[in-house]
Amino acid sequence: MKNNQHIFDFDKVGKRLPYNVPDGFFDNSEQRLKTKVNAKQHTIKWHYVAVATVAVLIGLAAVIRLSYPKPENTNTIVYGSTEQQNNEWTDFAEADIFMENMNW
Amino acid sequence: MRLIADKLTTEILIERFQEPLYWYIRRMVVGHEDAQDVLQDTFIRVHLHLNELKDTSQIRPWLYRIATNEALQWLRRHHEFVSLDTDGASSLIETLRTDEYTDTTDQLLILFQEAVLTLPTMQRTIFNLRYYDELSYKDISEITGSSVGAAKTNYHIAKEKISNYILSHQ
Repeated sequence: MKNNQHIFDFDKVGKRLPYNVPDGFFDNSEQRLKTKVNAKQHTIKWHYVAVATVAVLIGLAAVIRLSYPKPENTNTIVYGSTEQQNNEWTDFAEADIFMENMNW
Repeated sequence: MRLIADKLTTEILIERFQEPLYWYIRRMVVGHEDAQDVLQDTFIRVHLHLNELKDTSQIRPWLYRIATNEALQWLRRHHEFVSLDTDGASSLIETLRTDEYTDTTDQLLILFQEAVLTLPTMQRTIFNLRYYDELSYKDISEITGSSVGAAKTNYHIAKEKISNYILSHQ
């Protein structure tokens, strides 16, 4: 025979809870939830707009850069971009000076 | 047109399920204000992912799974240590005793909830889903990620623990 003295009778509690809510909570909660959900939806839409705008601007910048290539620098030969080119101009100038001095 | 239909569906879910989901969440997080916050997060997530639900016959376990995840995330954020096999009972019991919207006049009800709160989180979740919300073990297994057999075992162990707790504290 099963001993029930060591088993709690759950029917004494059933589904009752010691919790309660403010008066009218669920009536107000329904509208509040709908408002929050709609607000979140609008926030997400604006995030998409912002991301799309940034992407368009980046794409536009890339197109503009490709459409207008960097102009060629005509002073490259005079100022030189390599040490060899610089030495060539120096040697030429030194040669010119000595030629003039030969006429003292 | 599709957006309007989605909006209405979310609204219908709020109308039909906000109350049972609130009480389910309340049993998990205990405090009224906290349950309100988690309920809100739950329905926001419902709205964001509603179009992913293919089988509307599964709407109830789907909603409870989202609510469970939101409640567990809240518990992890707000209590010292919560995992699926341990519990953060002490702080939750403290909330049970001090929350503005807890009726402490019926000590048996308080003791019963204390007993439930001492269960490991997974066991407590399964117990609440079965005992209060009367979900099937199949639905409970989908919600919690456990097997049907494990859900049944956990439920019966939970009842035994609750019984022992109450009998030892009366």
